[in-house]
Amino acid sequence: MLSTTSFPCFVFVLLWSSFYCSTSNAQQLSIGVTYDKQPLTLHQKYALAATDDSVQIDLLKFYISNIQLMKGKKVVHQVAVKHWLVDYSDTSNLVLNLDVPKGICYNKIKYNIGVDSTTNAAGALGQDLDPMQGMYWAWQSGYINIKIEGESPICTTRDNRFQFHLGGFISPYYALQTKTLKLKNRKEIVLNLALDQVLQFMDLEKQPTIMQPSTAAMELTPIFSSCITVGS
Amino acid sequence: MNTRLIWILFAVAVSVAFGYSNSVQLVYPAHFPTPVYDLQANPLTTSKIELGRALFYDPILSKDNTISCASCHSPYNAFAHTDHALSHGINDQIGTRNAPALFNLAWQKSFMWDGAVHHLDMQALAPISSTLEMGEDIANIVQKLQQKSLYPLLFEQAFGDSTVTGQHILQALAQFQLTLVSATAKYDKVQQGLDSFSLQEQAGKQVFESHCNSCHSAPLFMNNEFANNGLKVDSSLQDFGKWLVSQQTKDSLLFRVPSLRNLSYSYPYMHDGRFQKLRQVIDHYTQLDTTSTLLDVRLQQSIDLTNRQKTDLIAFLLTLNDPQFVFNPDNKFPRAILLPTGNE
Ligand code: HEC
Ligand code: HEC
Repeated sequence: MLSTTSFPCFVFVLLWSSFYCSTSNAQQLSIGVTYDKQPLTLHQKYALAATDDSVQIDLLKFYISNIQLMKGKKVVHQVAVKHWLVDYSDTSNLVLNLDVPKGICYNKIKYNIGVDSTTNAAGALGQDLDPMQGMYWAWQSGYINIKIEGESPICTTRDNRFQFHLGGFISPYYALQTKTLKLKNRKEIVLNLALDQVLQFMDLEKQPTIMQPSTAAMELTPIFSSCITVGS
Repeated sequence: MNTRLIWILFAVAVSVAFGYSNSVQLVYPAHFPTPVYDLQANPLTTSKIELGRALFYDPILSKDNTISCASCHSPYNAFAHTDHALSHGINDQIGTRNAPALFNLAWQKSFMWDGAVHHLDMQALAPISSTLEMGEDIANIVQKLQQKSLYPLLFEQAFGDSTVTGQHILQALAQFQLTLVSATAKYDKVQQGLDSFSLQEQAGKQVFESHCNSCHSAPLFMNNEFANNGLKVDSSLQDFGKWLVSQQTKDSLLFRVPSLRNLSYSYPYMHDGRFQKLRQVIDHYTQLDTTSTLLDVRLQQSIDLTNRQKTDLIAFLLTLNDPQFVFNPDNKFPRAILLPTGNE
């Protein structure tokens, strides 16, 4: 039990030690993807958990949007880039400058995985949201929030390919995920996606493709976003 | 360099030098409602409309450069297609639906027979990517256009940036299509006090108002809704309409209520083009199985029309034809841009 006198002091120490205050505006957010704790290499064969089969990832793209830095419950910085398309095949693309003004203190990051419904219902947009990025469903309206493609002998599809195109912006299939994560007290912010853990929830044998807003997509999307943690 | 390019360069220079804004307003008559399309998000300009028009007529948008938007949406058919009930795409492949007429799109809330598309800007991605239609990919089109001598200039003129992007292609195509306004039919002239209905048309109007206007609502002659108008499912196509998009039982066999303007130009009718003649359509509505639970409530009271009333109804429907729109040279193939001089 804490004594009444030491309690405020304890709180003070806790708060003091858990904020990071920016010293320059060069703060960066970088994305890492791992498979069995090692950085993922595209097109390389990995062991598929609980099977004798292998798996390889050929394409991994997803949107991180509306990134905010928070101090407790208060938003202290809104990142200017509203929608960031992370494309794992393009290493130059895995780092985002957050442009945090000097002296801003924060201990949490809040972001969405995917594209919100207002943006989905808007007309043609540019940059990372330009449909030429290959993240727009053509035959119906809406952005694909997450694309994971690859191959595994366990898939009975043509060329043993699997394709997961997860998205949807209309209820009951509104797939946007909002996450808030506690940050470590340091300058670089690293978010790590443990892709092997996502794959454990994908039944590559029974359901090797998800290509439209659906219950299956609604189940997999929160799993994907919960496999993202603050890395070191 | 050919004369066409010199002309365009000249136009770019003039517009830059004089800070010339070529913005235009969407023109529509007072009896029309306010458009649904957010024109502030994509403000109309002459150069964007003209770029969109060139893209609409250019087969470069398809994989093998053979099919343009206009291949299926011909200006003379009010931008529908009359040779085939179902659309024809690259490699002579047959699609699953009838190409709808294109006009008054600025007032339309969703697109396609099943409403799969929610925004006009994004619509073009569907035919471009469909393997049964144009079989192309927007990223590849961006590259093809960038390599042409014509398009970087047109994009520069329209967007102040010669780099072709997917966003700009889609915005330009939408702009051209937004200008396809059909508001100069006899019906409109009567509304404006410039003409009057014959007795027969007047009688037909009454029939229309009692049985058809609840869905095909004046002055656009559509209501932005989806309904079941009693068509039996074509067993070979197995098309369940809006259900395909929402996968919700309540949407099974619902199709978008189309506008009834320009029917003389846009046959055959319905999502699968099953009717060639207006008379067949009217007979369909008078022979509905009103006991069907699928049928829209607005049609559940049987429609009994004498032959005379049917003829009157058709006479009224014909007042919705808009030849001034259908033959408007501004909407046709942009010969001056797409066909270099001396090549005609
Ligand atoms: C191969 C024929 C074909 C081609 C090429 C084609 N379309 Fe279509 N278009 C169709 C068909 C069929 C539909 C209806 C599709 C549906 O309901 O699923 C349609 C629907 C549309 C609609 C929706 C209309 C409405 O009232 O809902 C628009 C707008 C449109 N097309 C524009 C275009 C544009 C722009 C292009 C060129 C980029 C194009 N089309 C190319 C056949 C075609
Ligand atoms: C309950 C709403 C409703 C009512 C009332 C209604 N329609 Fe329709 N109509 C539709 C729908 C929905 C379609 C498209 C059906 C399809 O293709 O599956 C359609 C299609 C049509 C078409 C074909 C248009 C085209 O471009 O293909 C014509 C013509 C037509 N209706 C005429 C009429 C007439 C005439 C009446 C009155 C006798 C009428 N409709 C009453 C809903 C309605």
